[in-house]
Amino acid sequence: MNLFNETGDLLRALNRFAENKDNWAVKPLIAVTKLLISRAVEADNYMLNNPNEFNAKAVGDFEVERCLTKAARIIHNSFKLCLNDRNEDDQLTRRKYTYFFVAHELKIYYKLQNRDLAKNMEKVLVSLKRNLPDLMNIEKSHAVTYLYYSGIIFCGDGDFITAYKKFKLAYQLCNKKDDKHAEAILLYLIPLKFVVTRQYPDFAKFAKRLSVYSIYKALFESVVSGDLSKFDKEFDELEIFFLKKNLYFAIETMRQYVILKLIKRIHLITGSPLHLSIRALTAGFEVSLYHNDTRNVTNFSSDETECLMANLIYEGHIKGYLSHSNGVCVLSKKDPFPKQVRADL
Amino acid sequence: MSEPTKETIEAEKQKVIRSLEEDDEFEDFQAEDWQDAQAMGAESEHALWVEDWDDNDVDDNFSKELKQELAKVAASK
Repeated sequence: MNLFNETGDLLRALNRFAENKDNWAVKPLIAVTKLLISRAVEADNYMLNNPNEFNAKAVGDFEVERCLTKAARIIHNSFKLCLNDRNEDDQLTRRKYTYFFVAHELKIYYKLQNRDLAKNMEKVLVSLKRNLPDLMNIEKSHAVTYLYYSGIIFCGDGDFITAYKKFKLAYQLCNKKDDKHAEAILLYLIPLKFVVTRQYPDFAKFAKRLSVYSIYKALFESVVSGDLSKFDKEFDELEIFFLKKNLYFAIETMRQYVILKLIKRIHLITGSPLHLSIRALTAGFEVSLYHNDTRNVTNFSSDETECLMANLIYEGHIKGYLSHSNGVCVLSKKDPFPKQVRADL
Repeated sequence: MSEPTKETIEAEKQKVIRSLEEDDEFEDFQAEDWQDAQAMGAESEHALWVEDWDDNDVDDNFSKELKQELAKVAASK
């Protein structure tokens, strides 16, 4: 706790010191910021385990203000110090280091699960982008850290395209020898790549070097086979992990591609090129959903089938229309299932 | 290299989840910066994916059950 307070004081003092200096004075700020965050985490853990030892300052009625929150406030001053530097010289300006502090503020907000503050930060950045150096021209560790945490925020918000672009660039900038960070990035890049461009991870290549693919293997296999019960079982098992990682929405979006694949397979098996009977589809859904279920429940209704079909038609994944009175889905003659793979962004 | 078995994948999965659940899953970098040539680059990212997955047919237990069930529906018309 004391260690945290002292580090905080040090960073505050260095902030003041750097006010009218060139960017060499930011280097110690960077080092102390890293230290401050790790000490804040330690101090928070300590307070959590020894609640009676401190008369901690109360925020509102119940909560105790966490050290991480305090740290974020001090780091925010370092951020402003860099952002508002008027030095015109690209080599000397403190603006060059702005992204480092953004990245670490976002990291704290992610740890605190404070989405509002994180999004505010992004808004500030968008409005100031013109004044900031290009991400390709700053130190790569700063760029990668910023892209990673910013990507997580957008991913949790359902903006998969923005998130995808960030993780892709983060991966490209990452050091070849640095598997640990690459794996952390790929945890997001694999599902986002699929959701945005429908490109499928090459598991044989992943298996040679990286282990993060193992999380997704079963989920992606069910996308190829149309096996909903396998997908749902795996999703249930990993649900909490995905929630913690802001990945829940992205993985949930994958499920409709399992349904789509199932419909395509039913279409192939039933052999009729232009019609899909709702009865056959319903039977197919039941097999897909319950074939691993020992309780032998099968209660999927034809209304649910029509609803799923209507959604997929609306989203443009199937071309055709539903004929409720005839109990069929009439498919377009031309290209009833448009190609899924998209051009990369 | 032979295909990894189900068990090794399951074990690996649990290991990855544990390591990514740690408090600092994205720890500080050893170096602040590195040369462009040392970065992964666009090609190495591009090489990780395949496009033709949707054309593959699968032959597993689920597929057999699906075919059987659809045959029953067709027969009962």
